[in-house]
This record gives sequence, C-alpha cells and structure tokens, in this order.
Amino acid sequence: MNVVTAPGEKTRESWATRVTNQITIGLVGSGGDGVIAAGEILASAAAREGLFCIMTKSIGPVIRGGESSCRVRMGHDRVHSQGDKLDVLVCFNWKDFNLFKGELLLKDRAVILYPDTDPHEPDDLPIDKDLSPLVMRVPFLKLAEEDVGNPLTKNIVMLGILSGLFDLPKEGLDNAIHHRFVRKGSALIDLNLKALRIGGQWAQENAPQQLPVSFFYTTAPPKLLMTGNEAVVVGALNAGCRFMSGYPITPATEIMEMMTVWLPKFDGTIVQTEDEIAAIAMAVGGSFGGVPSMTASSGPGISLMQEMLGAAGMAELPLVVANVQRVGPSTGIPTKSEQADLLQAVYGGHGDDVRVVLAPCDVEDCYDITLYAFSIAEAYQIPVMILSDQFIGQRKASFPSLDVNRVKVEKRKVPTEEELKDYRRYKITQSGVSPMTWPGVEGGTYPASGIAHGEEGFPTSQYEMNRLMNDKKRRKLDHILEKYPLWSYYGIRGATLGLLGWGSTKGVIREAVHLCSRAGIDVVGMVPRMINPLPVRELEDWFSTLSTLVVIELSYSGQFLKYLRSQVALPDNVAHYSRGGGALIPLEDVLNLVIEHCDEHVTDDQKEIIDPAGIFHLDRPPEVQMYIRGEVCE
Amino acid sequence: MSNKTESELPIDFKPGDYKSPLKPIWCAGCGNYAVLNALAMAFAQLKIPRHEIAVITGIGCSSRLPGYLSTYGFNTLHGRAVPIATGVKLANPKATVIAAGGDGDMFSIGGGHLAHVARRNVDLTLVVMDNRVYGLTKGQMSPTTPIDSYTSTTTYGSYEQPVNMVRFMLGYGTGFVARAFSGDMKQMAALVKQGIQHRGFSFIQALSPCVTYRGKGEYDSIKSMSAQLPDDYDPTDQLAAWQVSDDSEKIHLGLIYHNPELVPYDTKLDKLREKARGPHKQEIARLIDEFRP
Repeated sequence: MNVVTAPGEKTRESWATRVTNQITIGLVGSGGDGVIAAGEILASAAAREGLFCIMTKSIGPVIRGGESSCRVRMGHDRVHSQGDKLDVLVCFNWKDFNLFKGELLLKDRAVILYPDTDPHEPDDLPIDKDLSPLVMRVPFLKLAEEDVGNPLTKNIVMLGILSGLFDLPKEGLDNAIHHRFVRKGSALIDLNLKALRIGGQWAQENAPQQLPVSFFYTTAPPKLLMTGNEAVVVGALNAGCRFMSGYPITPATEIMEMMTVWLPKFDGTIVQTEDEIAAIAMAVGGSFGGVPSMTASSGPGISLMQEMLGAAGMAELPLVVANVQRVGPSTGIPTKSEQADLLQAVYGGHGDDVRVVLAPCDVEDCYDITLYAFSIAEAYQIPVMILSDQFIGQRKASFPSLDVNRVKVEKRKVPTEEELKDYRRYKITQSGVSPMTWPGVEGGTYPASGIAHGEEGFPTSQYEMNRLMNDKKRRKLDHILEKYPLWSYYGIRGATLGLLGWGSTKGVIREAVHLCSRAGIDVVGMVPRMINPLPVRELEDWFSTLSTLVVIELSYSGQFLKYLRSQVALPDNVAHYSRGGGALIPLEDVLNLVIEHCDEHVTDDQKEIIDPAGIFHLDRPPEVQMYIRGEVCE
Repeated sequence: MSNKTESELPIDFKPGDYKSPLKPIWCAGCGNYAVLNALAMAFAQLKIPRHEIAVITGIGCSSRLPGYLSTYGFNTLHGRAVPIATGVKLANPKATVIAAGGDGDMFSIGGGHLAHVARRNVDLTLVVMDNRVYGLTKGQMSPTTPIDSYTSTTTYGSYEQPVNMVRFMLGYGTGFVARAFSGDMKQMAALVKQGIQHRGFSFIQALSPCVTYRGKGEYDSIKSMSAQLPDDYDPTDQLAAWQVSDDSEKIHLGLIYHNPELVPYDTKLDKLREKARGPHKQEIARLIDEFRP
C-alpha cells in the first residue's frame, strides 16, 4: 500500500472531505488497458441505478490500440456538461496521459490511481503539484494476474477499487458486467465479477482513513442510456422514416450503422451508397417515391450534399439530413466537436435556397428534434437539417425515458379527388404548401424538377412565375416559425445579463445559470433550437430586457455571432466568447464571463458557491426556482 | 385517390397517351425525338399505366425528357439521375423506373454511380442518349466525342479516347446491355421494352445524333458503321458480348448481353427484411427498451 498525500499549502477547510452528489472520473490508458470498456460499464452501472450520467471518449488517431481516454460524470441530479475537472483520475500510463494534455484537468485534491509497476514516483507525476492530489499506487496487474487469474481483468479490478473507494453503485456494476459478458458465457461473467470483488476488497483494506471526496446519492428507477446519434435513429423510426441512404463519416456513422439493424425490422430500406452525393440523391429519390427519407453526414460530406439540398428545395421534396459537426475545415479533427458548420448549414447552397435548420441541444433532445424535423419536412415539403455535433452525437447520456407520443408528427398533404381532376403539383397556396403525389397515385402524375417551373411542374424561365414560386417557398418558413416555438430559456426571469448559445453549448450555459441562481446572481440563458428560420421576434423581445448579452460558441471565427448580426438587432453591449473546436467549452469559462459582465459585483462568497470544483456541496444554499419558457427542453 | 379520366382510359394504351402537350426544346432532326417515341411505344406495348412509371433524368438536352412525358418524372441534377432513380425504385418497388440522360451526364459527371447501380442490380432501365457532344451548353467535347472532332473546346481536334459504353457496362457486371439507334425507332422501342421486362438493371446505349453540333451527316455516318447482330447471336454468351463491344469497325445494334440469372436488389432487400424482422412485430417502445441497460 502506498498512499501519498502530496504536500501543499492548504488551509484546514480545504482538507475537509468534499461531500458531493456528483462525481467526475477520468480513465486513461493504451489500447488493451480497457479504459473505454471500463467507462462504458461504469456509465451503464450508473444508468441502472437511476443516476444521471454523461460519458465521453477521446481516442488517438491509431485505428486500434493507441492512447485512449474516457470520462464519466455521474450524479443524483441532472448533469448537463462533461464536467470541467476530474475528482478521480485513473492513469494506466503517464505517456498516454500527456497526449491528452489540456483535456483531463484535475480538481484540487483529486484522487489519482496509477499502477505500482509504473516507474514514476508519486511526487514526480506530470501534474500541477499545487493541486495537492491524493495519490495511490495500485497493484492492478498483480491483483488481476494472481488473485483473479487473468491479467486482462485489470480494468474490472480497477472498477472494483473505484467502487470500494467511492461507494459507486455495486449492484449496477454487477449487472452491467453480467450484461456486457452475457454472450461470451458464464465463465467470463464469473471471472469479471470476481475481478470486481477483488478490487473492492483491496479498496477496503487499503483505503486511506479520509478521502478528499465522498460521493453521495440515492438510487432511482433505471434510466435509458444512449448517444445522440442513437436518439436520432429512435426519433427517425418513430417519425415514420422508412428510407435511409448514407456514406460512412466520423462522427455520424453510427446513425447509418444503427439504421442497418433497425430499418429492415420496420420494413424500411437502408443503402450504403458509393459517396455522399449518392447518399443524399437516393434519399431524395426515396422521398419522391413517397417514403419519409433521410441521410446523415458531417462537414465534408455535407459540403458534397449542398447541390442536392438545393434540388430538394426547388422540387419541394421532404428530406431530413442529420449533420453531426466535427472540427473543420477539410479533414480537421474528425473525432472532436465544433460549431463551425453553422453557416454552411444555413447558407450552404447556391441561389435563394429554402431550408430549415434545427439544432438539438443534448442527447435526449436529438430524439425530439428528429421528430420535429420529419414533421416539418413532410408537412411543409422542405429539406430539414438536424444540426448536431460530435459532443452530442457520440456521448452517452442517461435520462428517465422517451415518450413515444411526445411530438405529433405531421404527414404529407395529399390532393383531394377534386384537386386531382385538375392536378397542379406546385399550386400556389397561402401556406406555400401544395398537395403532393408520388408514383402509384392515379391521376397525380407530374414532372418534378430542379429547373424553375410553373404550377404544373413544367419548366419556365420567366421572372414572374419564378417570383411567385420564391414567395410560395418563403411563406413556408413563416408558417413553420409560427407553429414551432423551438427555443428554451433557463434562469432568472428579468435578469439583465443574458447568455446566448446553441446546440451542445447549452450544457455549460444551463449549468452556469443554475449555479448562479443558487448564488443569487441574476442571469438568464437562451438556447434557440430552431436556427433557420431564426425566431427573430422572440430574440428581439428578450434582448430588449437585457443590459448585456454574452454570445457563447465553439467556432473560431464566431459564426453564430455573424449569423445573429445578419438577422437581428443586438443589444448595445455584446460580449463574445468564441473558440475553435478540439476541446469543449469549460463551465469555468462561462462562469468567469458571468463574473466579468454581471451588473452587480460578485462577492467572494458567491464565487465560492459557483466554483465548479465545489459544485453541489451538500450544505449548498436552497434551490432557486428556475423558469423555462418556450418549448421545454427536458 | 383516383382519377376518373384516367381509369376510363381504353384498355389499349396508345403511345400518344404517354406524351405531355409540351413542345420539346430539341432541334429539328434531333435523335432524342426517336428516344421519346420509343419510350412511349414501349410503355404502350407493355400497357403500363402512366401513374406507375417514373422517368428520372439528370441535366442536358436529353434530360428535358420528363417534361415531354405524361408519367411521373423528375428532371434532377447533372449526373445524379441514377442514384435518385435507385431511391425511387427501392422506396416504391411497384413503379417502373427509367433513368435517362446524355453521354456527358452519365459517363462524365455521373460516371461514378454506374459501377454501383450495376453491381447492386437495381431493377431499373437506364437509357443513355448518346449524341457524342455537349448539346445544351452548345457544342463542347463529351466523353464519347470521337478523336479528331472539332468542338468549341477542342479547337485543334479532340485527342481523348472516347468511352466505350458497352464495354464499361459489361465490365461492371450489368445483366442487360443493349445498343439502339435513333435511325431505327422500332428496334429501340423493342429494346426498351425488353429492358423494362428484365428483372434487374438494364443498360441501353441509344445513339441519338445531334444534328446541330455534330452535323447533318451524323445519321449517315452511324448508319454506315452500324450492323445488326446476326440471327444466331447468343446474348447470354459473355465472350461474344465482349467481342462485339470490342469491334472497332462496326457499331453493333441489338441486345448484346443478357444474364437473367442475377438477383435484383429489391429481392435481396426483401430477404434481408425477413431475416431482420424476427418473430415480433416491431414497435418503437421495444426499440427504446433496448437502451434500458
């Protein structure tokens, strides 16, 4: 046993155990150390015990093996972001740790576990000494080899140790292991359960008298655990999507992969195409053929799809395109998140293209937004883009349930018998929507085209008809905006400091607002989920109540602010936080923005309450009532 | 939905029923008129109701086709008729799907899709209206322009090897490969009819002269080089098909290769669905439960 408390200049208070109802654990190792598998088991255990959790992975460029890390944040209350800093770090290899520098930051007095076979001395670790971590050298390999009987179980031994030290859900871990190995036979289940037990025993015998962090929670009914990409698939199938064509691209591929399993079960069709152009083309064909259709891709693939998005808009065909953003331009960083495809999503096509862009703001919201996307696409005969990102698409998150009937999904407007007598596919209507037919519908034949056309679909090159058709298509956007108030507010009604972000940025905005409200700092967050058309009137009403607006986004060039400036009149005082992708926006940065821009002076006491490293102390101030306006997001 | 005027149509379908009142933008003498007529004749002979046909084209003179037909049609993007037609057929398997376009549309910008529609063996009929030039943009070199041709982009004579369409498609494993000529509309109609009847992907090269940018002599020059396949020609003989495709002296017309044994894509999908479905009726609630750990 080798527990070392690195020396530091800490006061008596900071030595006190931090009792918390949420904990963030980071795991680092090489391929073969099994850290990702361990993280997945941990997340599964949390969901089984009814805890909220978010699990993210970060993997090096090597196809198999190589450095990998994951972090699991779990808690009794909802967690909205990845957690800035770790309470616990398990590092199988410090060389790998260094490859994730800047991604795995530690809280004050974090607990570090690393193998006793590692040559580093506890006071010689590549971390900031001022953090005064509690360092434990653990005989992972010896326990796995000698006590369990298989060196490969060292990741499960490690989970047993974490469970013993931090009272992680034991039954959940047992069940998660059972579930993970059930197809591989009972011998492997027993072996891994043994590994878990041996780890737990070691922790009991070797735990220091006092740990700097104590995790407190009560269990609840099991929660669902899924990724945003998976939630898109569930939403699509529920919305009636029965055709998908796609081409593999990180980080959107899982949508197509899961569809290959599930679409055929629902009598649907899935095709892996030869390229992204064919992917969107086939989906357009599927839609023309009468079936709700989709494709999915990311930045580079979406660039290739732009021409066809315009064609679908021109031919007024329903179409859903899921766009899971990654760091660009070009290949960029395919495995990491960014919000810099906003302008491509809204303005990517040539001509005065008409399209809808919806942005889910968390995993659960991917389900809702996908339902809305199909509803809007089908009812308004318009292409709809679901603008997700890697952080939402690939993280696992737990939440209580998905309501099958949450959103009423609208269907295509079909012609009446009367309308079929003199059928005009592109009949000019007040709503902009004309009755639609497809092959097989008797009396409904028409030529669709990307060429400017008249009401019957025949080509025209005349200004007047083109103007009428432009007006008709544009009117759809007004009706969509009216019908779908897709935005969310968080925080204190009437607060004059506003935080505005979109998509996955909602996580840190939501948590910042929550902490501030506890500390009596008035701030309100707003997250539009309808990006195009943008709810301009709503935004301007809200802006008129603010003295300062802070726009927060993960885009180096500040695409969201540029877009806002082109659409709405902003308040006089606008602060802008904009950064390129590759690492997520830390909660701490958002809180610092609040401190900097708050009308009133933020006291030291308040600063302590909103310190993310001290989130959810048990002796926290009473909850402040939050208000949510617009479409409720969770 | 039903339409009385259509259901009251006589049982004998006439080619004219398949044409729209719109006057084509094509020049007088354009080979595309024969292709339009051949399609209408094939539809009529097969007695396919108009509303069960979808004609999908790309961009080019020839791709204006859907506007001149009274069937469902979609004049899409340059080069993309084939993947869109694939989507239509797979989503709506009862429809008779025709993909059509020019030599530039299909073998230049859209060339990447041909290998895949062939290997998937999607049950649609592709008619490539080969006029050996870009007509809509007024006379540039196309992938089938013969060597030493003078076009607006080959001022000193063209020097790129033209595509041998039939050979390409045989190489991609196409199960139905035919060549027709606008100078013989009846044979073209017969081949289109056979192509539609073939369960799987069918390819028809329709030599469709552009009298404006290739000159009025184009009909005669093709005619002088063309030859009907002999009566004893066996289209199921792949080696013979290769030899026909390789002939630099003659342009052979007719059904060059036919393999009726290939399994069409929709049949494969049906089997896959059966395999995936399992004993239970699928419900969203069951899918959601999969995520309850």
